[in-house]
Amino acid sequence: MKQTTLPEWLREAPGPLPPIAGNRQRRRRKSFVEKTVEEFARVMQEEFYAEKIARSPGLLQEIHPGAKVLTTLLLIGVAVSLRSWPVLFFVNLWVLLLVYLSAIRPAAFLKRVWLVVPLFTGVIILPSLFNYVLPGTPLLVLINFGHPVHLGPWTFPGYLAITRQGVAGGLIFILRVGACVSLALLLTLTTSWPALLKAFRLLFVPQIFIAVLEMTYRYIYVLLLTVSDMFAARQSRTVGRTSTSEQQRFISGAMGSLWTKAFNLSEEVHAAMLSRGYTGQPHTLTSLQMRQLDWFWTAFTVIISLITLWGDRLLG
Amino acid sequence: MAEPLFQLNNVTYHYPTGETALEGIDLSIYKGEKVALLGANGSGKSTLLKILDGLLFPQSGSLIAFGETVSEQTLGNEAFSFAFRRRVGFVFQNSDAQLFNSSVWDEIAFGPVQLGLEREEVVSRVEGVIAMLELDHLKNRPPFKLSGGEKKKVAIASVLSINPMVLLFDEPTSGLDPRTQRWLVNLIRTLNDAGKTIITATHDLEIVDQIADRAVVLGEDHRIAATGAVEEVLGDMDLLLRVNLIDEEFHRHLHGDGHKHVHAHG
Repeated sequence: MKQTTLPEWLREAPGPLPPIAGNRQRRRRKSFVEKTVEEFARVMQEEFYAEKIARSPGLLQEIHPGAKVLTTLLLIGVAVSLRSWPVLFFVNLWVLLLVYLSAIRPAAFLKRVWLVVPLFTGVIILPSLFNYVLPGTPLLVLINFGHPVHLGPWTFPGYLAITRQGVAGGLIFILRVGACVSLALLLTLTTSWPALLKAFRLLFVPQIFIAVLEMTYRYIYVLLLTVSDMFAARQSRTVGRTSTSEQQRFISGAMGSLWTKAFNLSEEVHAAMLSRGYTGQPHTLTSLQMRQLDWFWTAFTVIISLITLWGDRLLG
Repeated sequence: MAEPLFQLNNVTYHYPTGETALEGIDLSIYKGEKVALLGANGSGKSTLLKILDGLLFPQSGSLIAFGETVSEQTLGNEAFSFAFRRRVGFVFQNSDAQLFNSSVWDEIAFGPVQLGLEREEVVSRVEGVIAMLELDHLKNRPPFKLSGGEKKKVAIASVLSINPMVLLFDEPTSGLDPRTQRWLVNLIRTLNDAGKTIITATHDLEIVDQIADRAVVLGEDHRIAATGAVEEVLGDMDLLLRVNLIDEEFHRHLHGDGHKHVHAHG
């Protein structure tokens, strides 16, 4: 066999490492590529976290996904129609109790819901706090002009204030959104994604649509790993910093290469499906085998919903 | 000898790019055989398996399987297509392409469900295969979270649940650790003992004598270079050198110090 001859430079060994202590150079900033690799790792980790919770023993994990989807929708419907803040507060507490019973750390759960909800809903409700937008009893006067303000054809009261009605409305809105987000998060955390998709069949979502979603979920991770490998391979060969335009070139190259890989993979997947009898019409085993616990849970949720609605009517 | 299960007559296949994958292939596979398709990379082994599985169709020549011609037209017939798919199972080299469902259980159930088996039958087959291959701890897991060896096991399980009489394996041991390779070799032998016909494409010469009685060697010219009993083919060093299945180093090892050190071109 022909012997490979190494060129001279390939035989050279690098010199000693530069001293690290006393090297006063500025810390290297992370490149776009490095950050992307880290972000991929984070997405995967997040998925593992969700999957771990969905598989750990807990109250909601034990309940059939179909029953869970239906009861969650019912509870969200109830939360949306509530008008009294104490009742909404009670609903939020009730969700927290479920979180606790489903082996999810309440602190982590609260962080996920309540760091995000006030931020987004806050922006939405902000204008309605002021008497210029929603007239009401002033709670805190911010600016007192002493006379009505004329702005073009509009006339505004002589003071800008946060109103009692605005605050109450905002509070109810935040509690309501918080309850809905909590319920949805609780459902997705305690149900594995495949089980959740199957449960959607009960809501008459077309089978082909669910099949597409399932495949997307399945292959997004294969492609994510491919991309992650491409980025890591590139990172391991990068010495020093690279220019933005160079990084952009790499990204566009990576996109093209990923597209080709995805296309080849899709052909192979299709062959594998045909080989096992797929004829273009997906057949599935759908079952809603409700056990006693599922019936009990559904009945319990209906009762809780009725009590909540009754309480709301009493207080609202 | 009995009627062949598969009969390829002068089969030629070109890729859409025009490159030749197979040229003038004449081959018969008989019931209960263990056949190894040997050949270097790019010699057309995978293409041949895909033709045997009715996934690709020869541009010239014909494939007769179970006494019927297999073509795009005949596989368009639902009854024949179902009968064919129930009889032939294909374990792909890339497990990721084969595992397209979102959980291991669904993966194994996919074939039987597509082929219209009753629910009880599907459940009993899936549970049976899970118990046989000891996959119980994986059954609710999504396939992308499995290791390479686990993926291969699930891919095999997903084909076994169809209970095919012919199993096609494409490079089954590539990328597997030694223990999983051993497990796979034993499984192939067990399946063959139970009457299954096994066709394995490989260039892993170390396992060939354990998973095959007969070897079909594809040359780099995409034609059949030789067929014969495994010992006969593996003993023909000139043949193996010519088709690029071994290199001179291997040759020297074998003839020089007399100790066998098998390695093929990967």
